[in-house]
Amino acid sequence: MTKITRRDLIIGAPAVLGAGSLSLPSALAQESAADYPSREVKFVCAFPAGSGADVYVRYFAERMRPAFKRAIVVENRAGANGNIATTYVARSKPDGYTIYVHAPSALAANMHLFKNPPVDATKEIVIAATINRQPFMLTVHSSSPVKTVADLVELLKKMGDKASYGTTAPTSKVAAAWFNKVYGLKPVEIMYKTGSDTMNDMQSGSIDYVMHDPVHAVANATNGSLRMLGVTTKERMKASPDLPSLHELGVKDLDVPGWWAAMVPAGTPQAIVEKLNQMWKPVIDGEETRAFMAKFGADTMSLSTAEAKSMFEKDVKAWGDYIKLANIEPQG
Amino acid sequence: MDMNMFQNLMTGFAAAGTLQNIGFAMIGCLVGTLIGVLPGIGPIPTLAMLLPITFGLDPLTSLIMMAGIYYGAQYGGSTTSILVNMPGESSSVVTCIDGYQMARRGRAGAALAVAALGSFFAGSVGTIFIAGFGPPLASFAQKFNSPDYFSLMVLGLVTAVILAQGSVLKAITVILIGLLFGLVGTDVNSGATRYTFGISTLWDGIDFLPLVIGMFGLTEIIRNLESDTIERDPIPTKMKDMWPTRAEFKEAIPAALRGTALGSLLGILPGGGAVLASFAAYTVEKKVVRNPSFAFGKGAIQGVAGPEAANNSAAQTSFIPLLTLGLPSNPIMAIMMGAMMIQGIQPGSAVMTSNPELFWGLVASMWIGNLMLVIINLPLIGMWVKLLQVPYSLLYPAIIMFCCIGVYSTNSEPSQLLLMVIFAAFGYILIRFGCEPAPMVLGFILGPLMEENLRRSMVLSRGDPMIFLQRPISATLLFLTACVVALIVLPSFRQTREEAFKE
Repeated sequence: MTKITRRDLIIGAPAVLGAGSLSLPSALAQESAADYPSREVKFVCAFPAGSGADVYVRYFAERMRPAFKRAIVVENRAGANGNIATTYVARSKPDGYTIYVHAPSALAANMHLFKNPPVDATKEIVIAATINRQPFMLTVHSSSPVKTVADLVELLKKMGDKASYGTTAPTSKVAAAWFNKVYGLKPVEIMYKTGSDTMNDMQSGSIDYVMHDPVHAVANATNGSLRMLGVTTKERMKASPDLPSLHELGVKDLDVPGWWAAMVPAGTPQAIVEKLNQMWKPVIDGEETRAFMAKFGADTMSLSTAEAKSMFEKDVKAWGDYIKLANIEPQG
Repeated sequence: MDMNMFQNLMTGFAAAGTLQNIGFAMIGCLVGTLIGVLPGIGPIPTLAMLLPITFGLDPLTSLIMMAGIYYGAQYGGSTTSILVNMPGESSSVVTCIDGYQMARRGRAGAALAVAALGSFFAGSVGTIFIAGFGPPLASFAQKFNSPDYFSLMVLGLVTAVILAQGSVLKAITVILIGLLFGLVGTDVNSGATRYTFGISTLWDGIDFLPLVIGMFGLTEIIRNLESDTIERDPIPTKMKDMWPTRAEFKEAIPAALRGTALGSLLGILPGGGAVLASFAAYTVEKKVVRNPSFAFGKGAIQGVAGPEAANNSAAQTSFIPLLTLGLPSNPIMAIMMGAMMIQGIQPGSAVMTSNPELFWGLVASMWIGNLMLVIINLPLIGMWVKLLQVPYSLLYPAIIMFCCIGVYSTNSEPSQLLLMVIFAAFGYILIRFGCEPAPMVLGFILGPLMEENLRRSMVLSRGDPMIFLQRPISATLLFLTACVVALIVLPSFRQTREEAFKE
């Protein structure tokens, strides 16, 4: 840990540079910030090749290539709810050449979903650049008579514990539990692994609503099999301006977004972190990425490193309450 | 059937038939065959890696290339199953059983030719199937709810008992062991981790590749090395001897027809459809064929033709849910869906009306791709067979190296290699006890799906097991399961079954 503090100090006070053998590693770090990136860069993806998340990571590997002017290799380290990839990145050399393209919201959730999280997310991982913000969507099947959230609440109240709802991920569980709690609804939760798995049971009317991830929801709303009723972010999304937020419909303060970022191990020189932030920003703010994200129901988001840090810390805290709300038992 | 089918197919052939598209179909098929032949390197990472390249291509061209890789890998996977008992894909596990035995008899060429021709025929039928019955079939597949899936898996597992040679008790035992291996990992409902012993690689369950490569490929190598002299019939070198004989064709053709029909139907079901198809086709062959020239498990050509046709027609029809409903039926379809979405095309029923050229072009390219694979693969048979002449002292280390690369590259975890070695030892023990590994693999694949759907159904019915009998699809499947159980239990059947293997 001493090495890290030393580096941080030196970057704050460049005058000390070269003052003796002690500052040699920091001098190297300083030098590499100016030359960075001088060799191949690795993007780590926490999901298997070919998954939806992998498409994101590879999209950015392609789009960031001109900025890095170096080869970008995508490495898939799938498994254990992202913990394998997170641990791998946290233990990598903090030199800016290992970049974790993943959702800090998922890292925050894992801090509470596991009894002994292998990585203390906010202490061991630093966000270099934020990428996007995406909601989960409250959806019903298009053949359902339910047209609005008010219709759905009325139906679920009438059905009581005969009603069922589907969830596909921790965020989905939290948003649904919050929604049910506010209206005093008592549907039974049915758990699915993926959005696709829910479709047949939705069509037959076995489940009354599902809190879907935006990729699945937008795709299936476009082809006419799902009806989206609301988003789980507090404000409406720019990608879907006509879709009300559950907050404005009465689920007060409900704000459970997922968000993506490019992250590096703690201890990476701040100069490199800032440089990365500047390298990502034009790509994130560009029209091409906006259109790409909108297809998946997400808005692009470029924050400063300080804003990202505080958002990350807030999220870790919030998840502590979320898992209690959704009645999720932490696992070991 | 759609009356405009032929007109639509013409549209498709016009779109897919451009020089550029045929060129990329060719590249796709070649790459696919190559990765299929290399054990362990599957189509999924390959497609994912190629995904960024396709950004710059025309949407139809990129899909045609990806589809080519997919079929190519299916073909290539059967090649290694036959030659060295190494299934690269879950759907070619069954091909190992008789295909490898045929190779040991010196009929590797015939087995490869039958696999290629059977697959081509099945692929062609699958293409027509999609063109003519795609939408109605998709809406049938949509009727499958959780209880129906559970019952389908039960039927699949029970028929797996017939798959095995020898004692019923041993077959049931290995299936149960397979189910237990399938339980390892995080439980969907509670999130609890089971049998992981705190090892984080096991949180998502045991991976398919280390299990199957360990139990089939490495076990086979160990078994061959343990005998001083390896008995194998002389390898034919003349093209005439590599081609199936008239008698072999006569046995293979009906098997391929049955396999095609079964595969086309099962392929449309999401999850495990294509795998079930090849296992089911084998079971059907074993049940239907009365007097095969060679017993099943000893190199019956029907055991190659049926499952190979089935897995290929299933590979075709697995496009139906994606193209008509926008629902990917397996991970490869999920990548194709991602590719379509990146290109700004929303998979689903709208594709047919909004992008008819793309939809029908893709359908037509399936046929073109299959034709190309036959053209690529038939001349290669001679080369593959020659590969068997390579001395074991060179062949085996090479195979082991490729296995290690393939297994390691799935997620760069050294522990996967350890798992592979453990399964190789386990596979060897099983064989020593006279147990078959194939039914175990089916249990391993279907187990988690079965559990998931069972528990989901029970929650949906609030704990009432009658849900499995109230739904007509589920009830029908369970009735069929009962019939199969009766067949197994009936003494007369048992006698013929055992006679068949005692020769």
